[in-house]
Amino acid sequence: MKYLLTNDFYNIFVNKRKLIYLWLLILILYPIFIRIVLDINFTDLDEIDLFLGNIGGNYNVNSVFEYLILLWNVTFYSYIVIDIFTKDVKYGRESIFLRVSKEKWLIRKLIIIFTYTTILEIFSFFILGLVYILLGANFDISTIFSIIVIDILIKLFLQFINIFLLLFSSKYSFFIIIFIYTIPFAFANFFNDYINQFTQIYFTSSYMKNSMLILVTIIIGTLALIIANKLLLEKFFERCEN
Amino acid sequence: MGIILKNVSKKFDGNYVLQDVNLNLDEGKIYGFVGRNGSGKTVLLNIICGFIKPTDGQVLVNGVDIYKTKTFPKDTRALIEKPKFLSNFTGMKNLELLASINKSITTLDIEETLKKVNLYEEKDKLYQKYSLGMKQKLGIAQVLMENPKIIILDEPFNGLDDNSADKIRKLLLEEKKLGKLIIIATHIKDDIEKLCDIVFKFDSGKIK
Repeated sequence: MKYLLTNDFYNIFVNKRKLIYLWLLILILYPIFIRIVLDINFTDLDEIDLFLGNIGGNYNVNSVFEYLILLWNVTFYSYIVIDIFTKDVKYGRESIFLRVSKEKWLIRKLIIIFTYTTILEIFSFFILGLVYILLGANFDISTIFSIIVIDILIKLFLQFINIFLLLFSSKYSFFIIIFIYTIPFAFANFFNDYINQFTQIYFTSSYMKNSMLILVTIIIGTLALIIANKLLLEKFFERCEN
Repeated sequence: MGIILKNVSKKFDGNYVLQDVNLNLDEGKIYGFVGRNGSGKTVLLNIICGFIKPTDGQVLVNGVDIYKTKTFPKDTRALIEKPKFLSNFTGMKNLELLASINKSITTLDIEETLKKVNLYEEKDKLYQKYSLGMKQKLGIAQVLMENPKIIILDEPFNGLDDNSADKIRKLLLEEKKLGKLIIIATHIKDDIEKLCDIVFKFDSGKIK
């Protein structure tokens, strides 16, 4: 675990530091663009909604800009997952897989994905929180903290979908799939009334909504583990050979 | 026990890179795979390690059909491609991290291996400051440090000076005496003629 953790930390936070800077820069430029270029006061908007959209956690997309920032976030996190998974198979076969079984490796990788997604999430929340306050947003800090947990769960949910897709698709078609699966969010508003009716009927409180999200995340996570069985991992390894 | 290959073939894009390879490799011997680049020896090493699935045939390592059980061979270590080490860490730290996967050896064992491959003096140098030969020795150290029963080395003398190459040759002979099964692949015939008990010559995916 120590080796894999260090190896992935090094790969993500050292080798890919320029990508992380770029990701953060675009996240930071987004509220500046809204506030200064479009000259919209935060008080005229739902600040929390805007913040969530900025962080890639608002799937009720209201504008092209929100969709683009969502796509950017999803692509970034997906790239990190691809990197965490394929690096070992491509470049670390003899040092890793002759020492650890594929199943143990997969479980450790899922833990690593959880750890680094959480680190990136908290880091981006902190930086963006400061930017929003500097731009004059009037945040209730406790609200921000409460959405961190739920947003981490959403990101993990996406990461599990990514792993699932990665096991079924090639590296290049994977990005096309990401693009396709974010498209429905761009039209989410169209279905908003139906979604609202559904949530009002089935999830009467936000606590229920959150609990359901946790439950769905756990179910998807477990399914990803089951589906990523020996056979699928085998196919994944074969694809990386060529 | 050892390694048994039965009618092993491998095709890439419809072309055979290995065809009907049958081998019986026993413990306590050093085997040499010789052939020019692209003759199929590295593909065979990858197949023995469980990294590349053969198109046909069976691979039994210590009695286990590794492709049927979808496992990697136990007690086996290999140096096939360029080893992956962390460049901002020292050679010693890199080996300690690798050893932490199995936790079967101590720091003293690692230091002992580094002395054997003649890299002890440079153990606290950053990997990025290592020369090609030092990187190669570190790769060999990661193979030997956990005392595996099967040792697989692809072009192990690449980048090594004559003195270091001789030291590694002596070390491999010592490992053989301990009952290890050692496979060495190289495109330079002189590298292994003195060292190996049996040499297999590879030509266009076939053993001659």
